[in-house]
Amino acid sequence: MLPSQMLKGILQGSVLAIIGQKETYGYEIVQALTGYGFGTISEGTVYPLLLRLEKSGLISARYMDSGLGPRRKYYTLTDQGRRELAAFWTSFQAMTAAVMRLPGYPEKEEP
Amino acid sequence: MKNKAAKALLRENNDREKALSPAGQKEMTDVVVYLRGQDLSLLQQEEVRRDLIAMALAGEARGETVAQVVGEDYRFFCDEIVDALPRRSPASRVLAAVDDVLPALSILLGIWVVKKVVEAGLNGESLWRLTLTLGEAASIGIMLAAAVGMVAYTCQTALERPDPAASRGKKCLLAWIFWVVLLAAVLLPSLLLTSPLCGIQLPVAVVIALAPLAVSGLLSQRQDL
Repeated sequence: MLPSQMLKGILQGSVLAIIGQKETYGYEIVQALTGYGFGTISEGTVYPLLLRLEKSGLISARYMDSGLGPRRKYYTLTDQGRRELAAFWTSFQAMTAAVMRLPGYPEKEEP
Repeated sequence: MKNKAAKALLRENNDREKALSPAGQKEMTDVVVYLRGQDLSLLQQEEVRRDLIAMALAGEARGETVAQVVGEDYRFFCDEIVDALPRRSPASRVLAAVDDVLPALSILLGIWVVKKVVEAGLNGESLWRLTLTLGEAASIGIMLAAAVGMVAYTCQTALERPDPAASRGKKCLLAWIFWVVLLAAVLLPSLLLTSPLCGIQLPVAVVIALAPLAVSGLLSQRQDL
């Protein structure tokens, strides 16, 4: 599980990346994050973030029937969201590269 | 009175919420009451509520409680939602506060008109001209302020869980003191401050009593309240 402060910094970009794959909804995003190893994240953590992304114009939402149960809110990336995601990848790669250059960074063991 | 879109969504949400379990409905009510006290328009509140009800219903279908769906710290969750939404302008906030008070003001003025007419009828006085005393005006103001204060307190404390260690007797005593003080604050001015403030013709008084409702109706056209 990722420490919460570290998670906070990368959650927005990570959620954009998941939404960028396909139109999806809150619970599915939570499941995907768990599947990618982000640990246990509740919808209560992701929902305010989705709301913020929607209000910022980075994602758009529409309600669709879920087949069973209540209508779901599905999210897709907007053009602005795609640009934000590209910026996230660039920043994250730069940060990862910088961290990997730090003295004492554990090298991969040779097989 | 709030805008029509918000009112329609509120009614839809009330219907949707009935599909939740009794425990889920109680939790959802606490969350919604807390959100009601935040700086959000009614439309924003109801849009969020629509999402939360859908999340809670889907969670219950999976066998999860509301707390398992949104996390144990409801207050943090609600504050994050409020932070995520755009702020209202100062003008919208003032108008919303005024709009919240207007229906209550209309009711209080209506009660005052009826009371004065009945009093005049019983005393054999003219029904045509009603006299507003300083104490009656003060009582109406105090009742309005108390109503606003109680609503604000209820909203702010909606997510606080009662302290099981707190003495039941102490809580009852505090509640009793509160109501006695409030009753005294409302009743004493009208009993003691009997000097006339102004005389109002009955039709004018009726118009004045209805005016806040009319203003509230006009404000209902705005989406930002």
